[in-house]
Amino acid sequence: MGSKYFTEKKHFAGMPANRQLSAIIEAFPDAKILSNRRDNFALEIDLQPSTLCEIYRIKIVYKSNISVKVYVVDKVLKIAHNRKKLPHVYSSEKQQLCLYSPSKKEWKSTQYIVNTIVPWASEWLYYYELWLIDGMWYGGGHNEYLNEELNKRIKDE
Amino acid sequence: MEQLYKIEISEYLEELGKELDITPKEHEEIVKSYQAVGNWLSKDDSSLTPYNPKILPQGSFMLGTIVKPINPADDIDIDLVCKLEKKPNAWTQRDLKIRIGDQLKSNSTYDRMLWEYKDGENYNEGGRRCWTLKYADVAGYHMDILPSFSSEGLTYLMEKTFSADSELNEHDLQALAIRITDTEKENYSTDTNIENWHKSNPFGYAQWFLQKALISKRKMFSLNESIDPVREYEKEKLPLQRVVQLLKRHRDIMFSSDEFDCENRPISVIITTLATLAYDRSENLVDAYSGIVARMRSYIEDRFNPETGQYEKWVANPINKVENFADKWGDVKQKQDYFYLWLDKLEEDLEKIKGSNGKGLQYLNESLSKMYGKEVTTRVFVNHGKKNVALREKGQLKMAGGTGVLGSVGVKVQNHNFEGDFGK
Repeated sequence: MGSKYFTEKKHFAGMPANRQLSAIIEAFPDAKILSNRRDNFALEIDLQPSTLCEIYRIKIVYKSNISVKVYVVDKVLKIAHNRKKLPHVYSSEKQQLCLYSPSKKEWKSTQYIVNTIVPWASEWLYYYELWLIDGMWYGGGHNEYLNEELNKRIKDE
Repeated sequence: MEQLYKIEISEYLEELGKELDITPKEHEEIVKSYQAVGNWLSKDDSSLTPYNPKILPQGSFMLGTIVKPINPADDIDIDLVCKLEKKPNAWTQRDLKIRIGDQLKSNSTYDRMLWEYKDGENYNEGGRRCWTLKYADVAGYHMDILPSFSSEGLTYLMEKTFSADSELNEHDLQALAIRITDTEKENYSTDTNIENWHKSNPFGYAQWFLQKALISKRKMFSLNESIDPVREYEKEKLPLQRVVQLLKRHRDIMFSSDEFDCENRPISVIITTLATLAYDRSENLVDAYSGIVARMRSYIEDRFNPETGQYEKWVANPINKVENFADKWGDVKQKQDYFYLWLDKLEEDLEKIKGSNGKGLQYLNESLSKMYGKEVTTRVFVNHGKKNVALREKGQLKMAGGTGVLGSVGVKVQNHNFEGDFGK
């Protein structure tokens, strides 16, 4: 009975913070650790989605069983000439990135951040640079500019 | 330049080359059109049939260096040779030209197309050397048909294979020459001896170009492969072919600006010749491109002309060394000046491309847009983005540890949606 309770608890608690952390450090040895406690950590790594892309410093903040948050921290991200705010962010000011669909449970804390959140962040940065070209998001996910397209369709008809 | 960077930038340049090229569908349409012309000229009751007429592509269509015009409303020029292998002794250049014209006119479609080019200005006698068929605007091209005469040996030479290692045989190259007609020649309507007709060698030039373009991976090649009307559309172009496309487009964009007189812009044959001379068989596109741009200039010769007592610029025809492709530079100084201005701009632009490492895709897009045109360039970037989504969805996109570089190395990028709280 005791052991059953334990495994269930472990299941719900997701992956321990130190395991997540060491997996990231293994892949990104240059990671800068900002804080490291039993059930949470924060660190920064550099990502460059392609040699043609800029290098971006991102901050990952993890709380076991609660959340993982990703921010671009080393620069103020520019806005495409035809847009007013960043695409696919929780907050344009904080530059916190939307990387997956929580409602579709695309990420669970049992999954390694380094195999999911980090590649998604790199993709975000790549599609962000393409977005700077013409203000369009080519990376998939929800349509940021649905109204605009509907208006265009109405006009065309 | 770092290896990965070279691969990545070459990928963008390659895609750009593809955007500048005609599409497989356009290619197919063009081949069908000129095959139909060939069939009309050689059908059983054609007056030309006894002389074994054939239509063969030449020029950029044969070299695989065609680029679409900047303005989509402009026509693509397709250069064709109409070659006869025999002729009655009494025929002059004019006879050959008019006979081919008459046979074309006996078809109501071609008759109309001859009328529709320049409002029928060349309907009676043709242009200086060619008959031009204007295809419908939706087709977007016209065909310049060059009446010519050649020996039967030509067909045989076109079947001969060559490779990157073969020595070009001077005798074979010369034997590929054809005799053409020219309304501005004094003997145009009098001389029946083809030895006195103007000699041209588009197939010898093509052989020279293709032999220099081959990289060792590609073993054997014959001219027939590039003129074969039913050949497959070449999806994978040789690096030199791509570079020539990029150079020609760069020229088109630069000289579309109002500050230049478009008439005097660098001509394609000089660009192609210098690029070929400067090519070192690099397989990587950006290496090929930068090597060519760096060395092109040094292949323009200064030759002393004893008649004028002055030095003049020379870009010799590689298969007819006494012909100077730059012979007009002496008369029209602006042509020479423009050529050097273009070379300067190319070098400056190349530095921008080489320096785009780590600057951001938006930076590269902006530089390439200025050099090659905004529309085609942006399409390349958009396609790149869409291709990566497709790769991820197929589970083929990976991310390298340590850097975050997306590509074919590292951990698989799992499928996901950039959605955040949107779904709530």
